[in-house]
Amino acid sequence: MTRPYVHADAVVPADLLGFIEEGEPALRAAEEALSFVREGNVGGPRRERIVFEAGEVKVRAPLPSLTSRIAMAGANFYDHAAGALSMIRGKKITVEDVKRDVEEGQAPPWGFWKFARNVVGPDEPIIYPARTERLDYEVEVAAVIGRRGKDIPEEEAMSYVFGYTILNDISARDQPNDRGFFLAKNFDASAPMGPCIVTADEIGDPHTLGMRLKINGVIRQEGSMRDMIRQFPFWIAYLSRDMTLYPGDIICGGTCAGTALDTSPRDAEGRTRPDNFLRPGDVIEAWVEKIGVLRNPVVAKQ
Amino acid sequence: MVLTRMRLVVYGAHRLGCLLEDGSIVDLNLAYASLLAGRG
Repeated sequence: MTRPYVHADAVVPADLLGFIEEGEPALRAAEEALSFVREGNVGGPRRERIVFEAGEVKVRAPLPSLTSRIAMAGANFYDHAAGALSMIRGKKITVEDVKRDVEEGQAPPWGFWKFARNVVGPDEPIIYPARTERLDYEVEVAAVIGRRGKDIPEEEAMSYVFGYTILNDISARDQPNDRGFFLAKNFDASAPMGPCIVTADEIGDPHTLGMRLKINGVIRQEGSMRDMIRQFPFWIAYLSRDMTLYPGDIICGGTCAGTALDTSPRDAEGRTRPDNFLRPGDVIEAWVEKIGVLRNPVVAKQ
Repeated sequence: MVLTRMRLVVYGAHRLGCLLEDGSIVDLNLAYASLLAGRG
C-alpha cells in the first residue's frame, strides 16, 4: 500500500515548489487526480481525507520557498508614478508627463527586493512596525516563475511564468535617509501574499487584469494592469540578464494609483498628513481579477 | 510551457492543494495516490 504514496510523491509532490519544478507532467497528473475526485472519490488510499471544506483548514501564503527571490518593479504604473511624483515634488505631474519621460529615457527601470521571510498568508496580521508612523499599502500582481532561465529574451519571457498571485507591498514611507528602501520595504509581515496561485493559462494576458484595494470596505485603489509602464516580459528579460531565475522566484509588476503615498500632499517640510495611511485595526482587502481577494488585518505591535 | 487550469493553494502543514469552485480544497498529492491505488 505504500507504493501509491511513493509514486505520488514523485509525480505530484506534496509541496508547492516541488510541484512547480516538476512542471507540465505534474500539472497533467494533478488534473487527472482532480477528475478522479470530481467523480466522487474523496478518500485516500487508506481512507484518509483528501477534500476539506472552506474554512476547515488554514490557507497559507502560496510562497514556493524561503529561497524564492521577490523582485518588485518600482513606480511601474503611469497613474501611480504621476500621483507619487506630484506629492513628492509638490506640483502636478500628469500621466502624459510620465509617458513623455519614459519615451525620452528619463524614467529608467528601477526596483527593489522583498524577503521571503517577510511573507504572510491570507488573514494573517500585518504588525504595525515601531519604525514608522506612515504605513502604506500597494496591491500588486505577482508572477511566479515556473522554470529556470538566464538571459531570457522578451519574446520568450511569458513561457517562463507558472502562474500569478497577489502581493500587498506594505511600505513604511517615513524612513529618513533610506536610499534604496533599505528599511522601508522589509519588516515582519511586510509582504502579505495569496490567496492562491492561478496557473498562467487560466489568467491569459495578465496585462489586462483589473485590481482594487479596500480598507475597511472603502475603495482606495482601483486600476488596471493596462497602466503598467513596463510589462512582465520586460522585467523577466531585465532581471534574468546575468542572473538565473529559478522556479519559485517571484516578480511583482507594481501598483496602480490610490496608495497613501500618491494621495497625501506634503507640507513645506515634506511631511505628509496621516489620514490616508494605515492604522492598527484596519482590514485590507486586495483584489485582482481572476485571482481573488487577499485579506489581512493591521494590528498594533505588542 | 502549456499549463492546465488550476488554482493552487498551500494549506495546513504546508501541503499543496487545489481550490475548487465551492471553496473546498483537494490535497493533490493524496488525490493522485488515491487514483493510483484505484488503478491497482
